[in-house]
Amino acid sequence: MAYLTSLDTGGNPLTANSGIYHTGGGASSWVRHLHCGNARPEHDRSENNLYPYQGGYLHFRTPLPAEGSLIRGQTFQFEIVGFHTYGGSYMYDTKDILHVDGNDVFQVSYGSGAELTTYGVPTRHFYVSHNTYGSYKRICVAIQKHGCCCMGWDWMRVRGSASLNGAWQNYGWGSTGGWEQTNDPANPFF
Amino acid sequence: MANFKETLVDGSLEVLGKTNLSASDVTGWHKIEFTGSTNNYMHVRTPLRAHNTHLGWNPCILQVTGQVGNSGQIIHDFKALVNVNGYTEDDFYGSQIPVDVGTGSEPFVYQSTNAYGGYKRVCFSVKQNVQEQGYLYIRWFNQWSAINDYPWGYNTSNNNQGEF
Repeated sequence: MAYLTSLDTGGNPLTANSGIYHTGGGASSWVRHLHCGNARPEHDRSENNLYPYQGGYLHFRTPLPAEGSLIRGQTFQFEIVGFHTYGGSYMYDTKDILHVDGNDVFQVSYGSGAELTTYGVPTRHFYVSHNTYGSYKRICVAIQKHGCCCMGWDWMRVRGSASLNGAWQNYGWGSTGGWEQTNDPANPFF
Repeated sequence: MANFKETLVDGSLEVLGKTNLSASDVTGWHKIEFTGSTNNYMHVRTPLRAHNTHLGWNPCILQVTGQVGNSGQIIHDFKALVNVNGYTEDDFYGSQIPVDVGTGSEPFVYQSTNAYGGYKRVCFSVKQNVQEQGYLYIRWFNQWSAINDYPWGYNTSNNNQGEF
């Protein structure tokens, strides 16, 4: 790994093919996700008579642990920017405050945003995974989507302390779709 | 061009150009500094093509922030979804601005009338009728490399569209 005490690119652009982690400034790089999530074949389709593309929510499992020393006692901002469908039926522009207290209890303070276009205000819901991934339960978020597998992108990032940037890269991302926004332990998304 | 596989800068990082995030597909901020005029609107022509080759069935989020006037009489802060109907090469849908939290900004996004570098371009206008200094900061999500596609343009007029 190149280790520079400073870097000056002159008048030239800097292109990062992975991410830029501002450990001094406390912001992660943006992570981009393609926006499509089908209904779950083992549950939604049989229970709700849905077609595959009719999942109403897109569920993301973030790399952020919801417990343990990397995250315990941390408060940070989680930002989502994005859209779903070619015409932007849903548009996302949200900043929420997440906190894991000293006893590994996960808390959410929903903040600004959840912008709307054609179909009203899309909601988002943060929760803790039922299962463990890499030995930890993970922070997950479900955002409302249109009932189609249309074009859409989401960009997510966090602002927090230097240690949080390590948490941002602590495990792989996961995503799936479903009719429900909450994570039923009897039939969890994650 | 220096090509680092993994780099840690144990200090500050100064980039006099733009910082483009190719993996995240987010452009760096482009800054326009201007002295206002008594004309009603500031117009910006971006390098983004209002054409299938950049936007067909593949929208971008255009984000603009900035201000006009020494005391910030006008504040710009909006996100627009710009899109082209993929069936027709330049059937542009521009003025979808679901996020506008500016003050007196009156943003309007449109397609240039003329072609620049062979393509019509995504343009926008914002209110600026103050003859004082102002700044605009512009970036978009998706199609980051389009930022190098053609030079930027800006101008003022009393109409909110049709400038380029």
